Amino acid sequence: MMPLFDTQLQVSLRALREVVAPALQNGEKHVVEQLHLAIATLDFAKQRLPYARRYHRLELENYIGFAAEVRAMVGADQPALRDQLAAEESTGKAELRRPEAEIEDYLIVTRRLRELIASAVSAAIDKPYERALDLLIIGRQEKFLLLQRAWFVPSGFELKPEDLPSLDQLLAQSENSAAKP
Amino acid sequence: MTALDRLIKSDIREHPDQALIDSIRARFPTEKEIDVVYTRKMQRRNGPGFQQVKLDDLAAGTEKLISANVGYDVKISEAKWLSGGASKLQMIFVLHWRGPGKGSADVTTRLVLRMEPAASVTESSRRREFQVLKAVEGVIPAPIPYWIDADAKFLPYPGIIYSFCSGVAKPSNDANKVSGLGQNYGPELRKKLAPQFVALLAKLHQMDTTKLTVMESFDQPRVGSNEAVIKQVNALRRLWEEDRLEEEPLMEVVYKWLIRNAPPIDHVSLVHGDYRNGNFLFNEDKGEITAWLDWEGAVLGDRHRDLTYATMVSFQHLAEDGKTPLSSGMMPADELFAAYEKASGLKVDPERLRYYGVLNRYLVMVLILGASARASYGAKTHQDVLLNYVIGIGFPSLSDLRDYFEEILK
Repeated sequence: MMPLFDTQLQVSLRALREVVAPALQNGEKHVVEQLHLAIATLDFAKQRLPYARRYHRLELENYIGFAAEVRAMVGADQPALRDQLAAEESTGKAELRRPEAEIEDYLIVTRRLRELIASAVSAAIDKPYERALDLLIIGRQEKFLLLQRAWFVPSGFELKPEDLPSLDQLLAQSENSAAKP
Repeated sequence: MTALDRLIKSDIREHPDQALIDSIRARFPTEKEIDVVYTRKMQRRNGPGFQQVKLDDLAAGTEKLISANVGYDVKISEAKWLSGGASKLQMIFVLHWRGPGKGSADVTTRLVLRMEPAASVTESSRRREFQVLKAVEGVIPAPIPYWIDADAKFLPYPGIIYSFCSGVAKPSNDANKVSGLGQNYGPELRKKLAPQFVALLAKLHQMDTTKLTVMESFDQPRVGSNEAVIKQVNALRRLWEEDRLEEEPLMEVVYKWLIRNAPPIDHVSLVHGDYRNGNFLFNEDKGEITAWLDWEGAVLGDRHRDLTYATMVSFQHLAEDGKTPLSSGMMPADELFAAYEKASGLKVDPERLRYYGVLNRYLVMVLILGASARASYGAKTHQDVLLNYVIGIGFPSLSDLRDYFEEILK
């Protein structure tokens, strides 16, 4: 029997919270601080691990769509970039269809798409479509930020986490799309 | 090879070659000393991760550093780590020496060693930090700098030694807060601290920078030119290019706007760069500020950079009425600007406030999703676990930058 990663994180967290932390109560301040941060980090991983695959699939899906919009806007003026974007979009779609693809495979393509989209922004300086492209970026980033912020809610930095959609709600978009895992 | 291996290998920034380092330097020209520090960081990145330093070894290196400077053997005792500070290692100790004059009596002085790790959330120059502390000596309460090891001849990494300052960073009724972000001092302390907060900022910005000859590692901006502002923006853009793990396309849009709209400087000020609640010590009984800390981000530039930084949403909290936002836990932003104008005689320009509002939000993003993420990813600091955890602030902050920037474009 192979223990679940969730169980391994659970037993580590219990040991740190219930045995190590009380023993270090009067320890050096910076040591105690690092212990609590380590506990918070493991707890974050425990909460988010079950969602990770669906999260990264949705993010890649989002960026494939984003890249297609950018390509349509700049393609006539920047043919080399248009071809690069199209190639990465195809790779991304293939990864989403490939059952053996891992989270890191999705990340590799998403990161390349992010870089290409940013390079389109700098290449658009003084072009007729510059403002339209900038506004597209600003608009799309709003949607993507919701997903990123929902992911990080357990970190505790959101002033009003209840105002954000839940990760489950956001990930349901992926389940309704063609890129079903 | 696993998918994780492939992902790691695809990151060109973790093991940069000289061609990559040179191309980034060429694309984003900045101040000379900043260039030196960032280049060193990139070259160091190819080296080992941060090695935990033993307190005894650090104490021995510190003795050698001081002995070499004073010209005789000194001893240090009571060395202890100083907690707090995500970006630098700090050791407090007692120095046994002959004192600053030529006396021969045994003198004991409590001092602090502040040393950088292999990489940092705020990559900065110990030389500049030392010089700015010299510049404000006698004007603004701050640690008094004694000695510097700018090239790590005696210490594992560059460091400075300065005086230990008394005071607390947090009121005793709120001592468990992890960082000074949004620090609430409470109504009684606030009444005493707020006027000093504004008066010291005004005093800092009024200093005649042409007479600050000790600040030789700082480029001197020209009034009427935006050249220095562009260099500051480029310093941030360069960090983003060197450090990011993944691109956020909005950052490129904002960078273009910052370059195009950089306002000429109307008055050159010494800008602290991190002027906010949580970054000063105070005497809780008297309600007096005893020392301003964290000068490593200081620049010569536009006062509006400090003004907008001190009034950022991240550093505010609501007053007791539950609705009035208090900037840096002191007072509403409009009141702070009015009090500053009165104290300094310097105008607060709404246009420049807007510009530096964008610049400071961009800065926060570069430090969190760029420098912080990179340093912890590469195991380069003594606080990796903290730097990794604060990445979670990055996305509410990016959202804040996006919303603020969208309003400005309208």
